[in-house]
Amino acid sequence: MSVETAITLSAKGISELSARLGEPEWLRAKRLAAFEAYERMALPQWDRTDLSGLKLDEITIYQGSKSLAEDELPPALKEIAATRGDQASLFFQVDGQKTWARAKEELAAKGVIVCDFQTALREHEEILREHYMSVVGFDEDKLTALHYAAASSGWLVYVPKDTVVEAPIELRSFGATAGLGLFSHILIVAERGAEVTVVHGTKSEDGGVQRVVADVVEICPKDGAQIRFNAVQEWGEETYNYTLRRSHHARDSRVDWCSGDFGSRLSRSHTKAVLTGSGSESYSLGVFFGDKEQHLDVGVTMLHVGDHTSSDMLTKGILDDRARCVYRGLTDIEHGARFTSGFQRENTLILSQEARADAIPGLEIDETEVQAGHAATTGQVDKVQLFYLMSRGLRRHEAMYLLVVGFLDAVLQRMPLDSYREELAAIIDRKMTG
Amino acid sequence: MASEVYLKIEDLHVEVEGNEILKGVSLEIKGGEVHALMGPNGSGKSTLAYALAGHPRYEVTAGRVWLNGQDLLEMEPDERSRAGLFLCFQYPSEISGVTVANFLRSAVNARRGKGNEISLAEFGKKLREQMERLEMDPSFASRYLNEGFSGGEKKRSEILQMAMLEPSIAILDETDSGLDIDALRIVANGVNALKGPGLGILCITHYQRILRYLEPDVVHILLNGRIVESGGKELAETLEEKGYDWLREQIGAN
Repeated sequence: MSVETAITLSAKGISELSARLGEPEWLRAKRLAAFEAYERMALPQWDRTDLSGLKLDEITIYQGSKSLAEDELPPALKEIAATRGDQASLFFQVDGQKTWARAKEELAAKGVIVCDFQTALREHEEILREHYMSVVGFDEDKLTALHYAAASSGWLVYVPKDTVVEAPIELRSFGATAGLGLFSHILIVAERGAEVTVVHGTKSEDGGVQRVVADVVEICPKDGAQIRFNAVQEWGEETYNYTLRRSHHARDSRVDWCSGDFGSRLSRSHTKAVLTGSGSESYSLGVFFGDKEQHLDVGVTMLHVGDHTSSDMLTKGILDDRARCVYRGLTDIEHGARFTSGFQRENTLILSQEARADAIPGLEIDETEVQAGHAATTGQVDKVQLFYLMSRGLRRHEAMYLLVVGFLDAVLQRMPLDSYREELAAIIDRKMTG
Repeated sequence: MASEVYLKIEDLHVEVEGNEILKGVSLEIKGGEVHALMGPNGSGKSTLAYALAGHPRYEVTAGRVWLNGQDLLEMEPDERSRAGLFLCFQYPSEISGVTVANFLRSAVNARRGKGNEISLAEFGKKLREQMERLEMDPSFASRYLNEGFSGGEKKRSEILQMAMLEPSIAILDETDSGLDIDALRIVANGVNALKGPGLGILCITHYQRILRYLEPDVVHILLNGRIVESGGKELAETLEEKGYDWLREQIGAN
C-alpha cells in the first residue's frame, strides 16, 4: 500500500479528497456545496456555549486508509475486542480510515450491511444516494457544513425488512494522531419491521493538541422499525466535539437513545427525533459527567409532528471542579400532533463550588389533545446525606462516590444493554476516583 | 490496658447557631455497660449524640472527649466511626440509588482498608445472619438505603448497620420512638445480641419501655444541658411514674 499525503481543510483539499476517494458526481456535488456553505457561514452564536477557542484553519482532515490487525489496535479498543468475545459485531476506525472489524455471522446470513463509507460507496451506492443527507441537511450551521465537506469516515448500517439483529453492532471511532480532525458519518437504515442495537463509541488521545470533531448520525427507521442507539463519548481533553444525532420516523417506528457524555474540552452533542409517522416513539436516557475545565452542551429535542406519537427524556449529569454544562431539552408538539405525549426530566448534581450548570428545559405545544410536562433541577450534594454516610466510616470521597452512583442509578438502571451500561459505570468510576 | 473500651466525656459545651445547648456534660461509659440518657424535649439529648458524631452544625466550645484513648473531637465524622463510634440516627437519611448491601459493603471495607476488603461470600453470610436476627426479609438488602422504609424498618436498618460495623461505643438516639411493641422487641433484642465487654451503649430515650429490654447499668437525667441526676435503673422507673416536674422540683429544692 502506498503512503498517502495528508489533506488539509481548503477548497483544493476538499476537491482532492473527493478525487482520492473516487466519489461519484452526486456525492462530489454535495461535498463541494457543503464546503461552499462552510466558507460562507459564520460560526454559530450559541447561548452559553462559546466557540471562540475553536481553531479551524489548516486542520488535517484525511491521512490515508489502511486495514489494521488486532494487535495494532490502541489498548482501549483491544480491550473491548477481548471482553466482547462473540457477544457483539465490532467495527473500529482509528484516525478515521484505519479499520478493523469482527462481524458475527448473523449479519451476512441475514443480509445486514455494516461497512465503512468507502465500501458503501463501492458496493451500496443506491442506499447512500437515497438516504445520505436526507435527515440532517448540509447547511444547518457552519459545523454541519464542515462535517459534510470533510467527512470520509463512518459507517453505513442497513437492516433489511423484518430482520432482527440479535447482537449489538459496535461502531467505535478512535483518534490517535494529534491534531487530526475527525468527521464521521453514521447512516442507519432499518427497513420495515427491522430491529437493531447499535453502540457508537468515540474516544481519542489528543497529545496536547486541539482536535476538531464534527460527527453526524442519521437514522431512518421505516414503518415499525426499532432502533436502539447507544452513544458513549470519551473524546480527549483537547477535543472540540460537535455531534448531531437525528432520527426521522416513519409510522410506528421507535428509536431508543442512550448517551453518555464524558470527554472533550468542549462538546456539543445534540440528539433529535422527528416523530413524523403516526404512532412513532422516541425515548432518551442520558448521563453526562464534566470535570476539570470541561464544557458540555447536551441537547435533546423531541419534535412531534404525527398523531399518537410519544416521547420521554431523562437526563442526569454530574459536574465537578470548574466544569460547565448546558442542558437543552425541548419537547415540541406541532399542530396536528394529536393524542401525543412528551415528557422530560433533567437533574444535575454539582460536586464543587466552582462548577456551573444551566438547564434550559423547553416545552412548545401547538395542539390541545396532548400530555406533556418537564422538570429540571440543579443541586449540590446534600450535606445531611454526606454526614450520614461519613458517620458510617466512609471517607468523604467514598461517600461522594456512593451519592453520585446513587444519583445516576435511576438512569443507568433503565439502560437495557448490559455491556454498555457497565462501560458507562466504569467511566463514571474512573472519573470519580481518577 | 490498651484495648480497653471507653467513652469519656469531660465538661462538654456545645452550641447550635450560637445558642449553648450543652452546658458542661461529663459522662463515662465503659465496655460492657449500658447507660441510659433521659430528659425532656429540648434538654440536649440529641445535641449530645450529634456533637459526638461530629455533625458540622454542632459546635463544641469547651470540653474533651476520649474514645478508647483517642481524642474524639480532633477527628472527622468518618474517622470517629472508624475509631469505633456508632450513632444510631433518630432520623436516618434516605439514599436513593444505593442499596443496603452495597452501602454496607462499602462501609465495612472503609474500615478494613485497601487490599483487605471483605470477600463477597463472607460479607453475604454475615449480612444474612444479622438480617435474620433482626427478622428482616432477604429482599431488604437490595432495597435503596432507607428509601421508602417504614419507621420500624429504618430503625432495624440502623441496628443492622451497627451489627455489621461492630462499634465499641454505640449511641442509640431515640431508637425506640415510633416503634410498636413487636418492632421494639426485635430492635431491642438485636441490640442485646451485640452486648459484650467490647461494646458500651448510650441509649437516649424518653421512655422506660426499651430499658426493660436493655437493662441499663446507669441512668442519667439531662435537664437544660446538664446531667442533673444519675442513678440505677430504678431512676427511670421513678421518672416514668412521677414525671420531669417532680425532678425539676427536686432540683429547685436543691
